[in-house]
Amino acid sequence: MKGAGPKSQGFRQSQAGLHTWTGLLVGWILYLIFLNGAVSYWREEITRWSRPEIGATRDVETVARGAVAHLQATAPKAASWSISLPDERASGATATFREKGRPAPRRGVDPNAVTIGPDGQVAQPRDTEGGDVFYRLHFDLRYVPVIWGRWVAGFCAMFMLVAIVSGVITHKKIFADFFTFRPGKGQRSWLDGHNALAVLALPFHAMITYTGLVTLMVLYVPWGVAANYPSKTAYYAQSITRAKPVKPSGEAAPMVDIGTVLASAERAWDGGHAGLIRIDAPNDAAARITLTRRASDTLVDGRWEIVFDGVTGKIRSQVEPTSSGMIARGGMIGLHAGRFAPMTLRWLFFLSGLAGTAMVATGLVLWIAKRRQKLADPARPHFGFRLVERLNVGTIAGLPAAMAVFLWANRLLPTTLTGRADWEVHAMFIAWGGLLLHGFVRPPRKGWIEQLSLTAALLAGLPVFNLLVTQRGVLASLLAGDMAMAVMDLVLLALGGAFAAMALGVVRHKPGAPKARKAKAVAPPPVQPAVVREPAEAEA
Amino acid sequence: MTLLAFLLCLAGFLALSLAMPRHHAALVGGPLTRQRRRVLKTAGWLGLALGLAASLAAWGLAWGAIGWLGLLTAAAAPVLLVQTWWPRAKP
Repeated sequence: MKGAGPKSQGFRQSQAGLHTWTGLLVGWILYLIFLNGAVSYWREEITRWSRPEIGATRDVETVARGAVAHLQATAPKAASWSISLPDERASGATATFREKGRPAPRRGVDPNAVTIGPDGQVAQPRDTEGGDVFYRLHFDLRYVPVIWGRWVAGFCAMFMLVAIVSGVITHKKIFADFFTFRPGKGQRSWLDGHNALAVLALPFHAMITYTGLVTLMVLYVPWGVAANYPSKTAYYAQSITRAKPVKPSGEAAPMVDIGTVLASAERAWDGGHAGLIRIDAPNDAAARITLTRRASDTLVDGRWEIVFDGVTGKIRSQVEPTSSGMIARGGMIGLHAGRFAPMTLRWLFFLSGLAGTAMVATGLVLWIAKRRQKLADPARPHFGFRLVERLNVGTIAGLPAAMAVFLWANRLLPTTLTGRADWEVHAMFIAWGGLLLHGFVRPPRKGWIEQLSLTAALLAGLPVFNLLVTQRGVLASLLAGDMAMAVMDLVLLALGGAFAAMALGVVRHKPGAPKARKAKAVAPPPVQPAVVREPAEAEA
Repeated sequence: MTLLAFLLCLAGFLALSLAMPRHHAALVGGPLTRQRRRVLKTAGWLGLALGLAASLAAWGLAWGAIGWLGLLTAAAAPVLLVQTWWPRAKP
């Protein structure tokens, strides 16, 4: 490029450097965040898959009635009841009651909670966190205080934002290379792949990173709140209107039918549905029923509530997000989490999320591919090179394997095991720890082949196990019309196939290729415009 | 309607890729005249625009715009794969 004076070259180079190092430093955590975020678009489906004892929800009203009947039978005099209702994607409701002066335990199992199945009866699913595991891991990490996890996630997201902007600046032939992928050319191919994955889903990457930061903005940028409110509690008290607590009158009164209340809310919300029922002072003349709208109902994530008189069923008050700031924030959170998304959109979000995961992975591999040919002694690479290369194996191949181990633990751990839900998660992290270690002990090429094959086998094995050993195999699910279960099995099979293809790719890869590149490096071609361009672009 | 939106985006990207000399040579061969290039470019952008219209019709205003961006990603990927593998498959 003729016009590329030292100054413009310098700017692009500096952006390239920025992109490389911001990307590398947080790359492995970003990979975890992206992968678990993508998977979390199926949070409800994974939870359903993890609790095969509970079938698909057919009619929410049956579930609500069943939950009320159960609470009426077990805790008619409780201070309050609450029932979380499933939407079309979820199954099973949770019914809980609180007695006066005895708040819910902050952690662990709530002894007052039961699961209500789709038939309205109390169900006994296995103890599991299901899809919530990946969802929490996505922004809370694990085994560290939640706040630390969120700070780490926010820090990484900020780096991601920097990497996106600097990446776009570095990648100068963004339109000329739009449809370009040149396989089998070593570093060139990794760069092409990295660029394609980044550019084709660029609107998604930018949106998801930015809105991700917005979801926790009060945590990351607290000064707006700090300057205007005496405390965070005061801020929340004013920005989120809450109903006053109910004082029971002591006078018994029959409660309004829950179906009537649900239907009334549906009319008030133009066809919207309740996701949460809270009943204060049940069976009392002062009883009050508060319905909160489902998160999957609207794009704007926010507090939609209707308060009913528990005896007459009349609407007492109604809350909707009104301030434009809250709507803008709620809209971004809704966009990020995709809770509203119809099925087709959900798939597009999921696939874009996987593209983002692969973008981070190819970026990490590219760092290695680019430096391998410059090594002084390829047989004994320097420490940093070895560290990155080994971490890549144990993360890019090891983490998906560990996540599959979670699903295996879900199927294999005995239902009577105490702390079963925790052990499912422990199994995942023990497996990941083992695979990280494995990545450091095995030669990288063998490490890649072994771990990718293992991931493939673990993923593809799950639907086979379901088919052969359980009552809820893919055929049974298809016959029962339970698409969530069937599709999850098929997706696991497909992902297993994808990892098998990657393993095969490494097996077939000829390590002889670096020789040709080396020869090129020995005799550097005279400085020509076309060659000058290479390094800046290869930095991407 | 969603499928239609996807197909429009797919056709749009295919036309846009064929308007680029390198991809035109690889996939179609023959001369890429100035006029052909203009036609392909116009058709391509038209396809993407109609795809947006179809997305809006399918999902409404707010979700339609988001869905269109998703469809653009989903439609560009197969075009990229075709541009990569088709020329190699040819004898």
